Amino acid sequence: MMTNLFEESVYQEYLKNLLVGDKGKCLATVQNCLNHDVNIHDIYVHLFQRSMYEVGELWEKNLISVALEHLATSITESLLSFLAPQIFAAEHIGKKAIIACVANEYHQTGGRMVADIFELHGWDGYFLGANTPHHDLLKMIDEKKPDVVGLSLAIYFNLGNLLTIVEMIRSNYPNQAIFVGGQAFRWGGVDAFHGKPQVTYMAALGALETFLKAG
Amino acid sequence: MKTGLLGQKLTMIEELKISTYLHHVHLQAISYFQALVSCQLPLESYVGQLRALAIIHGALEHELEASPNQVIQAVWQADLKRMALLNQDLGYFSPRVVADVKASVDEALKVAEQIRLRSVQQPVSLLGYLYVLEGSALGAKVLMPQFARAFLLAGTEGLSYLNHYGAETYGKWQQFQQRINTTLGVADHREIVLQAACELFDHLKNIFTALYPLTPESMTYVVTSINPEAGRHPIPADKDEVEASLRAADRCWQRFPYYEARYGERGSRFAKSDGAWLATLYQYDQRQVRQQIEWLGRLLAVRGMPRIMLQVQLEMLVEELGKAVPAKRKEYEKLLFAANELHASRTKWFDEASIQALSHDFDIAVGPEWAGRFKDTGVLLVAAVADEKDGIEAAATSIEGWMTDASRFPAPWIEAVRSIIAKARGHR
Repeated sequence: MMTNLFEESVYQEYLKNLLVGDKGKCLATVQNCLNHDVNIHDIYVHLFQRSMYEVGELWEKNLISVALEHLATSITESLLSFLAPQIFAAEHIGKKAIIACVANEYHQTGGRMVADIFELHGWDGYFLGANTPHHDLLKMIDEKKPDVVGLSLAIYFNLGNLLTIVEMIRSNYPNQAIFVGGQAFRWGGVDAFHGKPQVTYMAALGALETFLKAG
Repeated sequence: MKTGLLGQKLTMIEELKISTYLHHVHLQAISYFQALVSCQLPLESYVGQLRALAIIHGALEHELEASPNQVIQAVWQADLKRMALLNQDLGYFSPRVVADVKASVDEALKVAEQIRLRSVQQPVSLLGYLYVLEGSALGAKVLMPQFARAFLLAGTEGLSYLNHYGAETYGKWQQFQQRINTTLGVADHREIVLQAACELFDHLKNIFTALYPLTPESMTYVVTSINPEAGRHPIPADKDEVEASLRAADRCWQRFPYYEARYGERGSRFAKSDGAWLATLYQYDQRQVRQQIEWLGRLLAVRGMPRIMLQVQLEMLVEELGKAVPAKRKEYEKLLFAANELHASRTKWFDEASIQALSHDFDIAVGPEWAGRFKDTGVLLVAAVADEKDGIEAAATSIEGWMTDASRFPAPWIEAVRSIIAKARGHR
């Protein structure tokens, strides 16, 4: 029954409701998943991540307007808030992750989901939100001394800001583990981090889940 | 519907005035306006105001104009548009003020975001925003002499936005109020309009608070000073590079009359802001430059702009950047390599001789008058088919649709467009 909930028809119905801005029906789908004991990670990957990537592609192909894209994002964010009580119930294991969107990056849904996945696995996930100024991020790293810093890039033209902050972190904290990821990497940019061993590219939430399960 | 003490049914305008009264009072008390009256307001603050309003008007006018909602259509009229006036004023000041006040731009961008969301979720609520901006025209008449005095402005130079309706301000306001009262009868509509009006006042308070007093840290260069609707992407920090990118965009615009015919003044602004972003790319390695340009090229191609236009804009940009900052000429060449790759992606499907032959046949078919009016259309259409062959779906249909609109073009033209696309698609 759990796998049936992610049949293609369920996803397509969810996407259709998302694209017409029907928050109620999207919420009903999520609630239905919870009622059938679908785990949060699967909801994140099979509904939220997949639909957000598809919404981004539809905008790039000029098949939906920027207003619809923003509405879909707004609905998804409200569904993340709906799931928050389940996210923060895990027992904590003493590890920390700071997750941030780079400067000028205002698409924060992906970063927020990553922080939630860390929390689900018992980490303290500090999500700094959209458009994180470089000095604020460095200050937070200094204060929290995280095990991982995760940097989210949704729009490709912010790659420059990502490269800048990665270099700033590397020069100030040479041993800091850095994860980079986000929808923008569909267009490339991963090779910019070759030769930087402390930087790991996380292709999607699945890759992060694998890392976290490995302990 | 609310009622007065003696049972009078309050009109929508009366409810709006009541709901926004305190917001209005608080806004007027902000130090920006005190500084204005005492001639202490810096010019950067006033220009910052115009830029922030341009962001808001750009988003709002775009959504209201395009809205199929009948309530909006009953209120919205062409004479309510003020973007052109804002651009006029900004153009007047542009040689003197370049830097932006980031906090006010950020706040205006939040408003633009709200406008986009509301246009889908609660389109009628946009009339609350419109009420606040239209209502400001009355206050603007009072403040206009203050701005003129503060900045020693003559006539309406730099004051077009504040002087929108001139001597007709009061009459226009009466007409607007009447349309609002007549149209907004449904209770749900009234509530969301009231809410939106108050929300906009909150944002305006934040904008004007950010605009005075200014600090050196609050100033920066942002893309919205070039194009209020461009969002937040990077542009060069070097003024010479920004100006070079604007010149290149203008040249590209002139090279392809199709641009202006289809996209108008709004398209010109996007060409400039895109160009300013392109001018930042030389800082990355060649592979990243190529990836960024591939991404933009696809985005533009599905929106009716074949990648040849991007190629030409890059070539012109490299030229202008090299003239403006000769010391970096070698670095700018990375953009030329990307332009060459766009060229190669076309010529792998059509050699230059084939493109010219097809284009020549097109010009003959449409006749000298149309060929002159829309020069290089044949080249654009072949380029669009090349983009389609290269895997960009809708690259050809996105331009074909516009080019075969019978309300715009005569039958021989439409036939020639269909013919060249068919020939290009069949070309081996």
